[in-house]
Amino acid sequence: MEGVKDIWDRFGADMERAETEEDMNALRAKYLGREGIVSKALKKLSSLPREERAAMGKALNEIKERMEERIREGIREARERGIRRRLEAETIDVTLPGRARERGRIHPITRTIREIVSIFRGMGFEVAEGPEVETDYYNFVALNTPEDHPARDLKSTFYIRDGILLRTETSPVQVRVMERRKPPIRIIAPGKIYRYEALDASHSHTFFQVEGFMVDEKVTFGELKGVLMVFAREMFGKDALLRFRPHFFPFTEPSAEVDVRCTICKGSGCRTCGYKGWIEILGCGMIDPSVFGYVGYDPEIYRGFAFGMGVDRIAMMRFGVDDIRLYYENDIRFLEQF
Amino acid sequence: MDYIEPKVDLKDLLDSLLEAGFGIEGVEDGDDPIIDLEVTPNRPDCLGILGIAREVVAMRGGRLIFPDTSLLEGEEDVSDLVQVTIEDADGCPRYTARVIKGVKVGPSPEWMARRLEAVGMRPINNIVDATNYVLMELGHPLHAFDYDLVGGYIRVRRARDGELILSLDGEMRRLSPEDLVIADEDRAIAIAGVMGGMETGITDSTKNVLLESAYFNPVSIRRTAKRLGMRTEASYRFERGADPEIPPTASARCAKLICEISGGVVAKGVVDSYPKPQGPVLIRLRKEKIEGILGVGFSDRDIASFLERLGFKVSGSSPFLVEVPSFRWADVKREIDLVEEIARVYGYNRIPEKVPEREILPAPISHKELVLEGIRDILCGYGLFETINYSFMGYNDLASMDVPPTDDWSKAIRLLNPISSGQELLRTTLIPGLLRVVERNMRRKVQRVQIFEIGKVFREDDGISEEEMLGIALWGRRYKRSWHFGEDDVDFFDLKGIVEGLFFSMGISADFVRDSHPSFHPGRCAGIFAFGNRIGIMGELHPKLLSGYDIKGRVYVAEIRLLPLIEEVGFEKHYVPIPRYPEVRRDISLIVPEDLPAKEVEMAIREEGGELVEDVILFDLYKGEQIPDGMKALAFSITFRSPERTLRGEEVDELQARIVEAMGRRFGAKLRQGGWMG
Repeated sequence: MEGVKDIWDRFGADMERAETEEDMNALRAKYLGREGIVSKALKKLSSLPREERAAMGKALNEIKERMEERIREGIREARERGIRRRLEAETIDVTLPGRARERGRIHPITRTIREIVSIFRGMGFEVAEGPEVETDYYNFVALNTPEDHPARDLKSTFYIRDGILLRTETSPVQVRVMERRKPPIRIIAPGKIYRYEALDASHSHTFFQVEGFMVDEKVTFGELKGVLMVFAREMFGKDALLRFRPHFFPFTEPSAEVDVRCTICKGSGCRTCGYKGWIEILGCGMIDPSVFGYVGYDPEIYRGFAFGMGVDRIAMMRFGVDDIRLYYENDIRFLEQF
Repeated sequence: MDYIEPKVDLKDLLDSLLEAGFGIEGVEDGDDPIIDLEVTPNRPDCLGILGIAREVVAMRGGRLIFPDTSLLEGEEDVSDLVQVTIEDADGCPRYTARVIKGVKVGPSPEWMARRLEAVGMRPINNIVDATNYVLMELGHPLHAFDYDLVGGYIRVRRARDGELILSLDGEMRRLSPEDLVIADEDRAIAIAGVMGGMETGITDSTKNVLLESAYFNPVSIRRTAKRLGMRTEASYRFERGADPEIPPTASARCAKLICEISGGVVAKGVVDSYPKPQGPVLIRLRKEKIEGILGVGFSDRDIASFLERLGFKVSGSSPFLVEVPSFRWADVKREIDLVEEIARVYGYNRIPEKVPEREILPAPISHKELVLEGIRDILCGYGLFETINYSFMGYNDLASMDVPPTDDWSKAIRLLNPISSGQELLRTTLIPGLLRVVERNMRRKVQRVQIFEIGKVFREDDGISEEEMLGIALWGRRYKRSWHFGEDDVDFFDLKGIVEGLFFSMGISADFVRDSHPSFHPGRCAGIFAFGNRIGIMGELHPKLLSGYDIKGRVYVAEIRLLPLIEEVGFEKHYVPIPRYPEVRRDISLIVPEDLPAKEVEMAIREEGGELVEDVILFDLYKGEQIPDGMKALAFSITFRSPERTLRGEEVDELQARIVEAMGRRFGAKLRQGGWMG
């Protein structure tokens, strides 16, 4: 019968050669299985003289335990080795481009309108809309611009037929809303507008405006300025500055044009602001009492202010776009920048 | 600077002009800088240097220097030389005439010519130039006639129907009774307030001058100028409302200049016919109104002082009685107009800003906004770019679409004054605009265009209507160039996937039904139905349509009406319990006729399977060697589940068998070899 030490040595040599988990399991079978060497040796214990039985039995059980342990360890190591090798083989070049899941983009005009609307919504202005094909009444007459009035020359108009045209500003929405409701009213109205103008870098026959107005029993020019300042600060930054200049709109009195101090050069003059230091962004004023007359409000009780801003111009300032036509050309390489 | 005291440097001048409400269009620097101003239509009084100077003085203080109108009159009395009859006092409320005898017509002195050129007027001769000089100086148009060619009678009347006049620009004009003319005893010698006639104009041989200085009705002048397609410095000013009180003064000033620069003696006096005085204009002004509108209060003294700086006369105390100077009658007629004047003089930028006092709560987002934002976000998630296109389209676009007059797309609205050819109509569909975007990008070598637009289309069909639509267009490579993906171009099912995905996200159940439309490929077009209505169309565009554009390759387009979506989509979420009992999945492959729509088979399976069929997914479509000609194999994965119990194997077997039998019965479908997979 083999000595315990010989069995152990043989086991050791076998273990040395064993690499995989399979090998380990085979070894377990070989030594510790039912027909395994150690098992057989244990069975043969009874053939030994009594004095030797205890010692041999103990020794055999000891190596049995140790073998178990070593096999377990071996299996563990084999597994780890296996994993390591597999992982190495699976190495990839991480600098290769990913399988792109690109998202599209919202149009910069839409983005700007969303931002403007959201700022005013925070001040309680609700969104309203109006038709793009308008009547002479809503686009001019009810906005205090009668026929035969030079103010009609201010905005060249696309005509469909007598009395029907494409709206030249979003202001008709003011009249439409006021006709349907009584004050207090706070409305913001974005929309597409049309002017008969040749296309060039800063003019388009089609562009977007956002109109806003507020009507109540007590509304003042000071509050108009306040609301616009809040807008300016949120849109252009905390240090935004506004400048109000007297102007003329048929439907407001007093009327003003408003410039914002150029965000790029902070007023010292640069290409973006045409070296003026200020960029005109909106027109505004107190709603003219004659407009109230058209919608049946008593100007002795109610007052309001209105303002209108060109979205394209604001977007141009925001994003540094220098040609308004780019918005409507929709070159993908332009759109994907927003 | 001749008109204000003290003198002001350029920068301060520009600041004052801005404060007054003029737009600075440009400044030409130099010894004598030239400023290009924008004057709003409500300030005709500022269409002359004096008016502008008056504003500058009102803003900064100082004194206005009125030009010298002192005259050395001759012996002859002007009333012996000319008689004026105004037949239409509404059209011409005032007409004045002077006569200057013994002038020598020649070029103007250098100082006058230079100033005229600086403001863009061409020097002609000393008489005409003098009138233009006064026009630029005082803002009031005058006209000089050759006295000897006119005779002694001036009649201001409406033209006779078809009356002709050769105007100074050499055009023969045909007039109507709407037009006001200056006439002698017989014929029209000038289109009143617009342009003089050539026959009575000043020439080198003119010896005596008849000088007209009048006030004409703005509406009348505007109508005439528009009808005749004429616009002159004179008509521009009369249209906006001249100063009815200035004609004698302007006349004196001009006569003085004429005498100085061309010799001549002015007859004594001025013929002044003023049948319809336009003033005075008195307005009641309440102090509370000012504070109510502006949000800032002023003392009585300040109010009076502000207005007086502008030339108004203020009397009493609130409510004040304010007398408006004649040069502002065109603009200041009501109390509110005075409020604006006060704000202007005080300074808009000095009015304190106030955030509205009353409680302001953020306004709710409307349902429509939420839906549109949702749609945009979902489509961007699919990689689409939003575009915004012009609302115009051309007859050529309409022709390419090849639609009959009964189709909605034909019912286009025409513009009276389109901006260019190819843009004569309002678009009836978003498709031409989307195609132009594809075309343009393709030309610029962009390799894939996957876009959408939300915008209005317009139609005339028993009335003009506009409707908001969603348009989607795909062209080019499916994926951006990458080592992962193939070089495939997009196809119909890419578009359908996007539309289906969009509807799924919105909780909308839609049907896609084969359709035919002249603009689409006859075999690749589907009508989109939801909520019991047709809400859109999609498919591959017809090659004939694409040949109208510079596009190579296939373009896939969907156009969907947004109103039904907005009306029907809800944002309420309601939890449905997750299934408790396990599913059983079985795959079956059916051989069916080639032209049988897959959807029909799917619907039939669901119908036959009843409640226990939870889902049916088409996972393979096979046409090939093992399949007989004219047939195809559709492989469906059917998910069986009961909400109440675990299904038994035999139950499912039985159900499957029933389904297969039904498919055979309804469509002649056969189970494919090895067509049962469990």
